[in-house]
Amino acid sequence: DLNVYRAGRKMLDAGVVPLGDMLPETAYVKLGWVLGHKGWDAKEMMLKNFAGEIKERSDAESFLY
Amino acid sequence: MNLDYKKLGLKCGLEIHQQLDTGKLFCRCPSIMQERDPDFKFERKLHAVAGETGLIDPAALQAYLADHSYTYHAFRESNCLVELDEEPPGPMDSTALDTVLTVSKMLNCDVIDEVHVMRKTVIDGSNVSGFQRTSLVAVNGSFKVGDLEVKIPTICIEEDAARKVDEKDGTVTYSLDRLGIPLIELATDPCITTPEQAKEVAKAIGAILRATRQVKRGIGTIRQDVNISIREGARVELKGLQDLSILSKSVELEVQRQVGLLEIKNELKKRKAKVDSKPADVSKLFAKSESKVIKSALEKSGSIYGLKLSGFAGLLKKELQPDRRFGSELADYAKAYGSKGLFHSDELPNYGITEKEIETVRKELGCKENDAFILIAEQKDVCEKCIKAVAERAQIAFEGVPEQTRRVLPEGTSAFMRPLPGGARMYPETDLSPIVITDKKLKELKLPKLPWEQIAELGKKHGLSKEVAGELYDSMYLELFEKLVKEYDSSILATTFTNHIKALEDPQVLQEEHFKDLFKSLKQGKFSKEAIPDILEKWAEQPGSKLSNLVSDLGVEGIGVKDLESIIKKVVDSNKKLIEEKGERALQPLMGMVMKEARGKADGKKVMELLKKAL
Repeated sequence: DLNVYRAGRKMLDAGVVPLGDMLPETAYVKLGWVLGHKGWDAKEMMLKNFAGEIKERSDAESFLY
Repeated sequence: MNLDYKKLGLKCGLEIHQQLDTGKLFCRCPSIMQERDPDFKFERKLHAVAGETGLIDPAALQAYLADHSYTYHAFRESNCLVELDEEPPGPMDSTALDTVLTVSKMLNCDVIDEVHVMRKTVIDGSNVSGFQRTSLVAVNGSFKVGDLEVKIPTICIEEDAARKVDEKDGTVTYSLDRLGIPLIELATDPCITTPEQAKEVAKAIGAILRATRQVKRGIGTIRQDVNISIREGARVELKGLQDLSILSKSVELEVQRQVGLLEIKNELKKRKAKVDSKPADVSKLFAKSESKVIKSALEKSGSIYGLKLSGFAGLLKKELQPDRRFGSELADYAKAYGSKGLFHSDELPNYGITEKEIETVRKELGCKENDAFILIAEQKDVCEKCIKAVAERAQIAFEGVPEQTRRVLPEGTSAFMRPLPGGARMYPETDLSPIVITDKKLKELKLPKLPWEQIAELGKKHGLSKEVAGELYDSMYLELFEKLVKEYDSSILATTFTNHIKALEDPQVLQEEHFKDLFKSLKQGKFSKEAIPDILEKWAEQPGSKLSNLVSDLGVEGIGVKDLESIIKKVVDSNKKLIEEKGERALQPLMGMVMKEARGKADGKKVMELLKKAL
């Protein structure tokens, strides 16, 4: 949640799009893939979940147990 | 018991926690309770830390020193990293917040401009993080219940705690399915003055909450706490009332208990009673005892401790509530400090303790005729702690009623749970931003009509009486009724859902599909409406069977019009004389004869119609 700290809020003001729990490496590759599609809105498609790369719920068993 | 509540100065306030039927409050898990085995378990301990003042809260310190560990059961479907306290909370669920805002407006509250989430310290492990997230949403509400004006000082939104599953020495086990479910917390001022009124107010609040259609229903989804005091007594909090039906009884019994304690206070004063300051180790007096409890304590190298209570004889067995005596109150305190209970002189000889043993104890403690004593049989250190606690409680008897929190028991009586909590340790939740509530947001809220208005409308719209409409509104079939009433007759639907369904032992077995099938077949004339109760009863026993099979098994297939007409002709023909004599008034007896012939398979209205035609 970028709203919690001042640095985060400044990033939001600068126009950064937070990608939730997506991994940076995944985000980099996905961005390349999304931008390759003509007619796709980059922000909307980056935030859309295609294969579990961005989720609203973090499954405990995949991380810890 | 006929108590004059006005004279006693009874004051009563309610605190209601109701679960909301939305996703969880601070994460996007669904609010689903789980009956099956957990997907995985984990263990945690809590560590007490100093607050802003540099001091550690004494209650937290005590809990930490007890060195409990907590085991948690987690479920893939209901839990994520937030409940495990491995991830910061997500933003507040907007539907939940909107529901609380809606209730706040319905109750004429002032809504807070910015909702700040706070952390309230919790030391029993029921929150994995060691705190409960809670927010104040609205203040200064009020509404009327009959003539009584009920003020609502605060409305809060908070997350529910984990559900206790088991408790063994040193470890408590909780299930995390319930952790995080949104709760609306509503408090009233102490405006209630009779037990009946308490029930009325609780009912009204429940109805207002249900009017939003966003609250969970069923056992365990609502928890009620009642604060009760009488003028000469003290404020006592009764926690954990889940059933409205024992609410007024619990209030009544608590008043009775406080009155009883005041009577004890006066009697003690008259007798110039005293609590002995020195408990004594009387283990040696029981060396040869045959009592099971005593023997087992001594075998485990425990001790027997005794305490003299001068002037208390006869008062320990005084009944304060059905099946609970003053001795039970003292026993509660002993139990709170680790003992399994205590013996007191008013109930002895019993439990294998003999007259002779009693005599020796009385001699050892220096008891005179009007003196009582208590005995505790445990390990030495437990004995010392518990006897001290009992002595303190006995001492409070001279002042009357102690302020405390009590746990409600199934019959409406109560037992001591803990002293009233002090100022709750609350501090800001720094992982979440405040939520601004704009005027625009409040204006956009669609306020549902108040329950009594909705019931009146329901009745008017579908031609139902006030009572039936009210029952239907409170039942869980309201939505199904509204769906089906578009196609089927409202009064048959209403009668089924309010009347016939009550005769069933386990109505939940019947699903929406069952009812759709039932009324469709009814409309097609496959059977008459009189057969509905029997069909429902049989279907509830065998929910998997086909309706048509049930109908033929029960023998209630509707009689075709042709068959009905021939029965009517038969009856009319064989009663020509009766018809000549009575004319119109022959209709009723003829009707009875036809119905008998048709063996209840015919629809009364239809028979009347055809009969009239035939005459």
